[in-house]
Formats: sequence, structure tokens, C-alpha cells
Amino acid sequence: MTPPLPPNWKCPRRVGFLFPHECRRTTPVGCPDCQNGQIDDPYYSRVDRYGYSRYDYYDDAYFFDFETSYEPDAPDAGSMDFTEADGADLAEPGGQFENDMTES
Amino acid sequence: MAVDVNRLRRECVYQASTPLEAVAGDLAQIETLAAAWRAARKRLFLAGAIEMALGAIGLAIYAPVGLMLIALGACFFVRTRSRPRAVANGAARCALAKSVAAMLAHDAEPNSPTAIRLAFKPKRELLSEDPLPHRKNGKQRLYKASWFSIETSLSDGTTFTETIDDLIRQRSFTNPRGKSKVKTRTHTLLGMRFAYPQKVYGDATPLAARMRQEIRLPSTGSVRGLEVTARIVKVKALVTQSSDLAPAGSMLALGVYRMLNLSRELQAHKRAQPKAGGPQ
Repeated sequence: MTPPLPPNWKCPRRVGFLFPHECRRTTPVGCPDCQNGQIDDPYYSRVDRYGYSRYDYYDDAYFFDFETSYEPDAPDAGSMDFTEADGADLAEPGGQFENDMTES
Repeated sequence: MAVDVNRLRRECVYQASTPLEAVAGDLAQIETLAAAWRAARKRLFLAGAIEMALGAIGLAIYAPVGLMLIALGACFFVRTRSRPRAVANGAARCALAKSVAAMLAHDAEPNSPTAIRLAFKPKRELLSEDPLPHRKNGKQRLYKASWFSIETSLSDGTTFTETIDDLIRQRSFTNPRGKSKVKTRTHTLLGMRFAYPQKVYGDATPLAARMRQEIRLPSTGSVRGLEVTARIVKVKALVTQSSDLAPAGSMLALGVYRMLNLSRELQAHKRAQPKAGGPQ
């Protein structure tokens, strides 16, 4: 049995077919999207999108193609400043490599 | 909203501007009506044919009875006219309209009016007429028949419009035996227009090429045009098999929205960037 919901309860789940949006239902009971609260993310879990098995997923190539400044895995701009360790690397750049003519 | 059955009988058209839930109810009602009319037409034709046959026999035995039976048979045939064939055989069109309404119901703005027009016997518009080479009295005519349109507001602020037109190629000629022949081929053109809010999705123009790649259609469908501007996405697809129309429509919308959703993510990231680099 579903426990009673607090007054003004708002469904936290994403629903939708073409795009995600908030669920407007006041109870998960009888909901065809989350099936009585059984599905955490009904928008992601849909299986009726024909050939699109991972409709909500974009690999990094999508972001690199259209937003060169956007790197999902890169650290925040604030942490891009040089540190003391970076400075040390610059002071000892491993110049031996350029002078060793035996290397290709 | 109740279906205007008289208009459906007279013009074979269902037209309404009402919330999507009501549209779905109306379409279900028309589908039931179409099935009932189809069954009634079948019964009336059978009864009319039997009366006519009995009348022909009756004429030979006792002419007044024969004439009466023939008149009764003709009466049955006339009665079929109140159940137009176009609607009675239009269950497939009704089912397609229902599937579009069902797809939109997931994302439509509740209670916003949906303008819908479903024509079971649309007027053919002549696009071109050319002689058909290598055929005696050969002629090729191309027609367009617009039979479905729907417009509604989605909950993201997008105004969605879909139209469906039949493109009919009719070839007529005289064969070597001297008989007149007419051959007809019908393909269907699906058109969609998404007037998206720039505030939510930014400018989707740079995603146009990728959007074309993202659209997956059944093997009988192909994208015939895509136009992306800072406010509108327009896409057209040609479908050669009518049974693929419903999946093709959903797949077309899914392909467009997959890129619009990406555009929204990029837009959200752009908005977040100045905050990340803002004053500490």
C-alpha cells in the first residue's frame, strides 16, 4: 500500500516523450508514466521511441562539434590557473629529449 | 466537444479547436462511427443487390411485384449515401490522427486549444499536367490533396504544427488493344514545423546538419527538406507506404527534438559559464 502523501506533494520525476518536463500529477497512484512510483525516471526509461534506445544521452562528440568551449569532463575554469607544480615543470622542461639525436 | 456528424456526412471533414484530450475523444468517436457506417453500407448494398435480383425475377413472373422490388432495391442503394464511403473507409486516417494526438499528449500544454482538421475526401489540387512519352494519348497529372493538419502548444513553449498531404501521380493512356487505362500512385508528404522559444533552446541553427543525421525513418521514408532558423525548425519527409506514416511522424519529431534538447543543454551551459567565471 502506498504511504499517504504530504499535502502539496510535487512529483519529482521527469516525464515526456519528446523532451523532459516536470510531472503534474498529484499522486503516483495509477500513473502510467512511473507506474505507481516504480520507475524513477520515466522520461529516460521510455521504450517506445522506435530506434532511439538512449534518447537522452549525447556522447562528447556532440558537445565538441557544436560548442568547442564546452568540455564536459574538464575542470572548472577557476581551477585552470597555474599551480606551483606546473611552475616546476616549466623550470625543468626535460630538455634532454630535444638534444638527444639518437631519438627519432 | 461533440463531433459535428452532419458536417462529417456532408463534407467528410472533422474540424475543431479544443484541448487535446477532447480531440482524442472526438477521434475515437469518429473511428467508431466509421466502422458502423462501413458495416451499414455493406448491409445496405447486399440488401439492395438481393432486392434487385428478386425484382428481375419478379418482372418475369408478375411485373408490378418485380418493379416494386427493384424500387425497394434502389432505395437501399440511395440510403448508403447518408454514410459517405470516404468516411466509412477512412478508419486508417482516423487511427493516424489518433496516434499523432497520443504522441502530442505526452508533451502538450494542458488545456491549450489544439486546432485540428481531418478531411476524408480532400479536394485535389492539380500541380502539373504533362504528356506521357511513348504512350498513345498518354498524360501524366500530379495532384496534391491536403487531408490532415494539427497545431498545438507544447509545455516547453514550442508551437507544433503538422500537415499531411497526399501526392498523387495519375497516368492515363490508351493501350495497344485500344482500352483506356488509368494508373495511380500515391505517396505522402509529412510536414512539421516547430516554432521553438529561443529563450529555452537558444539558436539551433548550428545543429541543422546533425539534425538531418539524427532523424531516423522507416525504410519507406526519406527526409526531403530541413530548414533550421533561430526560431523555427521545418522538416519534410516523403513516405511511400501509408502503414509507415504513424511511426514516421513520431520518428521525425523525435529526431528534431533530440537536437533541440541538445541545443537546450548547450544553452543552459552557456548561461552557467559567466557565473562560473564571475566575480569571486
